Amino acid sequence: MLKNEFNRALKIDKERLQGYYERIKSQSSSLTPIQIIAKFLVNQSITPSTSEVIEVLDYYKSRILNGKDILDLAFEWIRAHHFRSEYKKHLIKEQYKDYNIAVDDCIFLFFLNYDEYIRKIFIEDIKEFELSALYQVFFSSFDKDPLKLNDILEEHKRKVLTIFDKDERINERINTNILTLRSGLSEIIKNDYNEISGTKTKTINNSTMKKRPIPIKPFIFDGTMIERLIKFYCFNKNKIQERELEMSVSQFLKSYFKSGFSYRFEEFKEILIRGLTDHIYSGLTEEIKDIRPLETLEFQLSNFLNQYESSIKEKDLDGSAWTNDLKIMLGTFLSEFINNLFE
Amino acid sequence: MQDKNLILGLFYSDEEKRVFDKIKYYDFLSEENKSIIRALSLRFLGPIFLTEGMLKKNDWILNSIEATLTSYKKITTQEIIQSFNCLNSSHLSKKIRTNLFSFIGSPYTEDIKLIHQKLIKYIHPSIIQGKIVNENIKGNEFDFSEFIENELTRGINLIEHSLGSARKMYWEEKQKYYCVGVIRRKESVDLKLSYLYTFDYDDPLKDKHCSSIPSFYIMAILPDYYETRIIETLRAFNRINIYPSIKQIDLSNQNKKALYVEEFLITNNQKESYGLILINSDEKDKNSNDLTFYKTKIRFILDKNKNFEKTVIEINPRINPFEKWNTDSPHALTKIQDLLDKKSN
Repeated sequence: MLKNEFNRALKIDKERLQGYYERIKSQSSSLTPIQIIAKFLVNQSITPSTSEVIEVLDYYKSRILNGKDILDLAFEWIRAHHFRSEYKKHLIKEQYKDYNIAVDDCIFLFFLNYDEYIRKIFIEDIKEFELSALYQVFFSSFDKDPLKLNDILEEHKRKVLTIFDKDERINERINTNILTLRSGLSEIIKNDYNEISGTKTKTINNSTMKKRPIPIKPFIFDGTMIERLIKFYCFNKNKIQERELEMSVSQFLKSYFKSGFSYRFEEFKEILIRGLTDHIYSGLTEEIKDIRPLETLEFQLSNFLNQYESSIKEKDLDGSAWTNDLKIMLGTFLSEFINNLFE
Repeated sequence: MQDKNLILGLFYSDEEKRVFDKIKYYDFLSEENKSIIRALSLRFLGPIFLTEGMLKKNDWILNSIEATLTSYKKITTQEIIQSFNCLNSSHLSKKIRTNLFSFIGSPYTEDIKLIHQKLIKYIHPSIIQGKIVNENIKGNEFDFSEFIENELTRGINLIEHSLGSARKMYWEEKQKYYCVGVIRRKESVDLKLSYLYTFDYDDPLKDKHCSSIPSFYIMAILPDYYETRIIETLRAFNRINIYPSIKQIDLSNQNKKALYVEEFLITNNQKESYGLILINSDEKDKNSNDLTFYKTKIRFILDKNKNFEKTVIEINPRINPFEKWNTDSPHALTKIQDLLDKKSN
């Protein structure tokens, strides 16, 4: 990852976030500073529970460097979520033979630099297991399992060592950052890989495996035409022809759905949401991106699809049938989105 | 990419100079070929051990060797390999040196810089760190052979995954180089000649620049040595209709950098090559130039029959193009060590 790409992946709108935080602070005079920050993070969809956030902030506040405070840590947590979305974009695009290569390649391309960056806000004495636990906390989504910091710390304490060079007169810490990163991130990358490539074993029913062909390689939705369409619209604001929109959506769907393969909605829902929002977001100008963050876009599309979910959830259709069905739905979503873009 | 069009090997030498290797076999190879391949690791690492042994005070690292491949005649689809690169990562700590070396033959130009970074920043540190952590956790029960086998498998898979992508253009600050030597090589079926041209042995400039390269001896043997190793590798992998030509050898020692660049031409079944030994130089030095300048000069000798002596003087007037140092016999190389690598006073 080039330096400018890394800086872009880390970039968050700190000024805007600071504004949100100040607003929450002014509305929550009865809360302690740590409770206010926790509320701020929950509002940013970092985790669903305030108590879990407080536990993390409370533990790491004594590990922060002098001159930094818990609010800085909170911003880093938000930044980590933004960084995660950038790394997942890469994971979607890249075709790895297996998750082991995905783990190594993603750590090399993304997290080695991140490790160097994040260590700068902590004291030198922070233990390696505390960092690997922090990586697990920062980069997990905790959608399904609750965030139990003590359990995570205990688990990492057992397997991640902080080693000092005993031969030196002054005990010098030995760099073991790659192993720390692997301990904190391997499971996360493995799960993301499995989810994205659609090979998550628990979702595959053996009997269905025999009946229908499963695409071997992980497919992605390619929305380059949609991205270009939105980019042009943002710059010249000329009305988009219905035909153009239809063709772009069709290209997007055909890049994933192949005739002769059958698909179930739950197999591709997440990949579709991520693929479409990523391409829409990439097409937006920086100004619009500030008003319409990626998370909001994902939320909007997810809500939109939820309207139809009950009718399509159980369907097991051929790729071409899905293309036909979804073309209308996504066309409607995009049309509404574009029409409201400057309102 | 079709896997069978690849040649890929990864070696690790530890602080005790034990060598462990991992080679990918994409084709069926005879046992005889496999035994030749198994010996390649030590042969490729030879000059690395040599620089290490000879130059205790100078921590020179051989970073990379790039060779182009040309076909003798019409090649079969199996032999479509167009580039051959050797990449090395040497890690020095408390006078202990470990080396991780990789050779890659591929049909594409490959993003070699990215692969080299993976070697230096991820695969090699992962081995060093993993060994330390495992020794601390497992103590005497730690099985290094099993560990290194896994790490090399992990490393070779990561390199293999990176292959097939186009070489990226990286923005780099333009570097000026100063030429300290020229190597002229000629090769045909029954002839092999190699000469070094440099400063006069009593020229103070020779002493001044001696420390900017590993040694004249090492620089003189590297091109032919590695070209021969690459030929052996190609033969062992049944690529018999292609042959390599060294394009660039890159060495470094902290902030010092030494480059060897070579161009070649084949006429009447005879291969003629001209290579330049370059060191990084001050912008202000009037005799320093960028890489394109040097490559153009040697191409002119090859393609436009420009006079060799005149061109060498244009490259660096202090290099004597009339006194050649033979480099293809042990006796001649000893002479180089005695007269060029030792300071005159």
